[in-house]
Amino acid sequence: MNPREHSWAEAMRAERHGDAAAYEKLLVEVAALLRVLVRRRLPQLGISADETEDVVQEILIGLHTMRRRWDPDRPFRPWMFAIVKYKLSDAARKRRREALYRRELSVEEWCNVAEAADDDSHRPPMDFDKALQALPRGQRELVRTLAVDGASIREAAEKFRTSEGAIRMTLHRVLKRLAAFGALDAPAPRKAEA
Amino acid sequence: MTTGRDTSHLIKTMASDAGTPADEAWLSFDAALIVAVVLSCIGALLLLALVFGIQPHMAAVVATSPFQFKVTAMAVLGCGAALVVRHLGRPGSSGLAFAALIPGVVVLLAGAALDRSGFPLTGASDLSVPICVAYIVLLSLPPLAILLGTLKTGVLTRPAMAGAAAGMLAGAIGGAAYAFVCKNDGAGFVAIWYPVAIVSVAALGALVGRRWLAW
Repeated sequence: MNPREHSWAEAMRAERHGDAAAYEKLLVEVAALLRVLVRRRLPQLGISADETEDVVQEILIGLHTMRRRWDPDRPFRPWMFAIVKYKLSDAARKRRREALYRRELSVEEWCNVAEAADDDSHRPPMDFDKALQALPRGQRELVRTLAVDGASIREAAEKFRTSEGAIRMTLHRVLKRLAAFGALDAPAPRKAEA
Repeated sequence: MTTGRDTSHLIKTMASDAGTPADEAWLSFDAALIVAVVLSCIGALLLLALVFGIQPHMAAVVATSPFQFKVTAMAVLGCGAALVVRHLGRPGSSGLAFAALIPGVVVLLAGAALDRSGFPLTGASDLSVPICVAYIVLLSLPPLAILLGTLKTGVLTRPAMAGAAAGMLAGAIGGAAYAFVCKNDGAGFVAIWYPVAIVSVAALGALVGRRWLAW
């Protein structure tokens, strides 16, 4: 048996009788052990070792919250390590999720910035179908092939029996036209409203 | 960045809590679990009475061997699942508890192997399977809610697994309750479709437990 098992279990029992000093000593010893353990494990879980002290605190708080649920008739260390393992993986999972969320948010923010620069919010949304109808038939077919069928530029080039460069050129023209259509058409509904 | 000094401060604060009666459970986890199982059985039977009513032939059904087989299999499986739930609510206890699920499986398989009734595996009618599975899942819901609530008083270090075990136990209780009205008496039917329902409830328990039992 680990030599600390006895003293730690004793300290856990002492805590219930209000022995703050014994409990503090236990927590200090556990924290020291956790520091070593967590610092080694975090990089393996994909988290920076800089987070060690925060994770150690999270685990300590977990142990502290659950301390009265430990059965004094049972060994303390296995109980503690099961909680350490859970809290450690939980902390790592939370941090990975937060990192993901931050990335997602930055994309969202980027979109917001792009939209704000256009400042199109006051304009009614462009009627895409109508704009599409205004295109020459060949260009319309190309948009359908690329956007609806999801074909690649190369596949579109094969379908229309032309070069990829020509497809790109046409696409560029189409996009310009659609954009112009949206811009030119925009004032019309507002006039209708008035 | 958080430093060791912050941690010392935290430890001092926590140490000052020593002796204060925090989170004192008025029942031990084991006792709470037993109460929860009893309440779960009552809950499943109440829902059964609500859905099917009290039927006069139920007394006669209890004396039949198919009913006894169903209830025995569910009881053995349920006891095994209860031991697994108990293990998962007490960190550091032996994982051997998972072996407690074996007897229930053996009883079901033995029943199916010894089945000479010749009843079809898909039950008496085309709808037997979906009806049976759906009702067992339905009857398992009150037990599942009670058990998941009770698990909160344990120390869960594997929330999804604990939820699944609670689901298995709830499913076994639901299966035993459904036996009162189940018209499919082939042991083969019971050995296949009851476990399908139980596994469904276990999956639901895992799904709910993953979030609900996390702390």
